[in-house]
Amino acid sequence: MAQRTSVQRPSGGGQGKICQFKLVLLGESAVGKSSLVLRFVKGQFHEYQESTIGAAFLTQTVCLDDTTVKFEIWDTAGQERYHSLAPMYYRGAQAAIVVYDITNQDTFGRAKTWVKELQRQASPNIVIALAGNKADLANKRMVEYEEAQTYAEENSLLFMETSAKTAMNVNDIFLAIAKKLPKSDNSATGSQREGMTLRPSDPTPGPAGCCK
Amino acid sequence: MDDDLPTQYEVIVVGTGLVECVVAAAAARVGKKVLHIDKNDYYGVQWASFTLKGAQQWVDEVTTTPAPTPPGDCELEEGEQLVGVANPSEDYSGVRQTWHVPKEPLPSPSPEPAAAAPVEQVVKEEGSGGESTQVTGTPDTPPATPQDTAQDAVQAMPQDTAQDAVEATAQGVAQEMPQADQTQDSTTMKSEKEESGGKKEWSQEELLNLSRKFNLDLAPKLLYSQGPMVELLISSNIARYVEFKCISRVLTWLGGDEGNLLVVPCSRSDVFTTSAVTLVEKRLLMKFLEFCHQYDRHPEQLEEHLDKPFVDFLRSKKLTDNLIHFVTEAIGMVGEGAGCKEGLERTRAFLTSLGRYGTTPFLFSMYGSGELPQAFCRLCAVFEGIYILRKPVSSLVVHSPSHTCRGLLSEGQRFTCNHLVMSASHAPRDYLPRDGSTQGVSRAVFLTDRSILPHEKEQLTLLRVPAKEGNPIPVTVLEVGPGTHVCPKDLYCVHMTCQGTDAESDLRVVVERLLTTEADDTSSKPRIVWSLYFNQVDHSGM
Repeated sequence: MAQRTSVQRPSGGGQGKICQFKLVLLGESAVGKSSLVLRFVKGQFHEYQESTIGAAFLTQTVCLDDTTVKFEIWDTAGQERYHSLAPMYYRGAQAAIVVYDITNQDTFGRAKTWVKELQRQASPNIVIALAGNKADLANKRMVEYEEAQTYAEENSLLFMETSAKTAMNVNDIFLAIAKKLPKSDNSATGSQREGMTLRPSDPTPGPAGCCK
Repeated sequence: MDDDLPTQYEVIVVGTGLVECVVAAAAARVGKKVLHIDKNDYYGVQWASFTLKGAQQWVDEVTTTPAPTPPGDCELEEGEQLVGVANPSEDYSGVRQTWHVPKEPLPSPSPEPAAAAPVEQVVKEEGSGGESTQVTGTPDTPPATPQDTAQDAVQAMPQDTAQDAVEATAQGVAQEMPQADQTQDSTTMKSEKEESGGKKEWSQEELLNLSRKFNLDLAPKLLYSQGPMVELLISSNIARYVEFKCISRVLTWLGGDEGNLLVVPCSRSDVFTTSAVTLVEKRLLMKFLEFCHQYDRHPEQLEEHLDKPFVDFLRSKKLTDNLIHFVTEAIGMVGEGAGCKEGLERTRAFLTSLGRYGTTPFLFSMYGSGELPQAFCRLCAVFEGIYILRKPVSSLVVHSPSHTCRGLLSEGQRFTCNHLVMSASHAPRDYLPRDGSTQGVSRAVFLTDRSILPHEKEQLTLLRVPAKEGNPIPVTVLEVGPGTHVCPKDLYCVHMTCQGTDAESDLRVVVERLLTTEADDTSSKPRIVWSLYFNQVDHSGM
C-alpha cells in the first residue's frame, strides 16, 4: 500500500500540486490522540505523554504520486474532556480521525458518539477514519477487530488498528485519508480556505492604500 | 466524565464572553492554572453566534425567568460568606422575534405569495446587567489583562453617521464634472441591478432545516485591520484558528427617507474614481488625509485647534462642506459634534488600517464573531486551561474581613482560586456602581432575501446611517452573506446597532428606509424573512 507513497518530513519537497487539509482528532481522553499525531509528525513516542501538548496545531506533509498533501492537524487540547469542545474545532475540517483504545470498551462506545457528533457538526463530505489505538497491547484487548471493522463499514469509515508506540499503521492511516480526500485542480495553490488568515504585515503594499 | 476535576486554581474565569476569554488565554499563556466555566452549553455568553434553532433557544432562555439558583451550601471558614451571582440574561429586554414567512412551504410556486401574518413572540423583560467588563473578586487585578485590546474590539462598530456631505458633493460634481457623474452613477445608486427574477420563497420549516448554516451574532464585531486586537491575534498565534474576510465596501446614506445608498470612497483609487467629489475636492481630500495619517508630526498646525471641534479644524484646512461631511461621517465616523483630537484619531485609525488586508479598514470573522471567544479559549486550553460548559455558579465564596474572593461554589462543589474573573453581567449586583446611569444598546438582526445594494459579487457591507434628516440616532448597519458562513445561500444577514433602550423604535427609520416586510413590495428593497429585536444593558462605560 505504501509503496508509491511516503511520509516526508516537512523539509521534503513534493512536485506537482499541493493540497492542504484540516484534520481534526476526536476521541476520549487518554486513548492516544496526541501520541498518534506526535508519532506521525515527529516520529516520536513518549510512554507518559502529557494529557495535552503545547502546540495543538501541527502540520505534516504526505506525498501521493504527484500530489503533496499537507495536513493541518488539530488536537482537542483537552476540551473534549468535559464535553466542551467548541464548534470552531470542526469548522472547515475535511478529515477526522476518531480514536479509541482497543483495551477499553467504553472508549469504543464513545468513538461512535464522536462519529455521530461529526456527522452532526462537521461538513457533510468530511472523510472520517476510525483508529483502534494501542494495538501493541493486544493481550489486553477488549474491542474485537471485527466488531470495529463492521461498524466502520456500516458507516463508511476508514478503519485501522494503530499503535503510536510501535508506529504500526500510523503513517498508513494518514495516507489512506490523503488518498480519499478530493484533490481538485483548483486547489493547486494549496489552501482550500475561503477566508484569509491574518499574518504579520505583508511586505506587499496594500492594493489601494489611501496614504502610505 | 472525569470525577478527578481539580478544585484549586490560580485563576477561575466565569463565563466565556470575549473579554473573559482573552483574560483566560493570557493567564494560561503565562503559566497560571486556569479553570474556565460557563453555565451555558455554548461559548460566548453575550458574544455568542447562534444557529437559527440556537437563536430560538436563546430567545426562550432570555425571556423566561429562570428558577433562582439556590445559593448552595458548603463548609465556610470564619469570615467567609456566600454571595449570589447575577444572570447575564437579565441584561436583555424587549426581545422580540418575528417570522415573516409562512410556517410551511407553499404547495406550489404561487405567483402571489401570501404575506404570512407575522408570528410574533413578544416578551418584555426588565433587566440590568452588562457588557463585558471583568470584575475581580480580589483587590488584585488578574494577570495580564489586555483590556485595551478588548476595548478595541468592542468599539469596532464605531458610532456614527455619514451622508450629507455626499449630497452636497454630488451637486458639486454635477456642476463641475458632468462626465464623471454619468460614468459613476450606476455603481453608486440603489439597486439598479435587479437580481435575477425568481426570488426564493422561504418557509419557516425550510429555514429551520438549514438551521446549522446560520451563525447569527448577538454582538457582531468588526476589527480594525491594523488595530491592537489584530496584532494580539497574530502575536499569540490565535489568528491561525480563525479566518477572516475584509469588509468589501462602506456605504453611506444620502438624503432623507427618499434617499439613496452611496459607496464611500475609502482608498486612494476610490477617491480618484469617485463621482462624489469634484476634482478640486479630490486634491484637498487627498492632501488632508495624508496630513491626518501623520498629524502628530505637525503640532504647529494643530496647536490652536486640539480642544476645539473637529469641524472647525476641517474648515481651517479649507475643506468644503461636502468633504467635511465625508471625513466626519464616513471616514472618521465621529459625527459632527466631535472634538478635533477625537476626529483626527478616528480618521487616522481608519486610514492606517486601509489596504492591509483589503480596500476597507475592517475585518469580519468567518462563521460570525462568536469564533473569537472560542479561539481565545482554544489557546487557553492548549496551555492547559480546563474548560467546562454547562457549569453554573451557585455563589461566590467571599472572605468579608479581607474583601477577597476565595473561590466559588458550583453544583455543590467548592473551587478555590487566587483570582476570580467575571463580567459585569455575572457580577453580584451589589458590586456594580449604583449610579444607575447605565447605557443601553438597541439591536436588530434580520434575515433578508437580497442585499441592500445588490452587486454582481457578494459583498460585506458596512453602512452608517447618520442622525440626520429624520433619523434620530446614528445606526450602524452590517450586512453579511453566505460567503462568510453566517447564513445559507440566497439569504443575507443584516445587523443593526445603535445606542438606545427601545430597539424597535430606535431603529424604525433605518429599517423602513432599507428593508420591507411586504412580499409584494414594488420597490427593490430586501424583504425581511425573519427578525429579532432586543435591547441590552451596556456596562462598558462603567
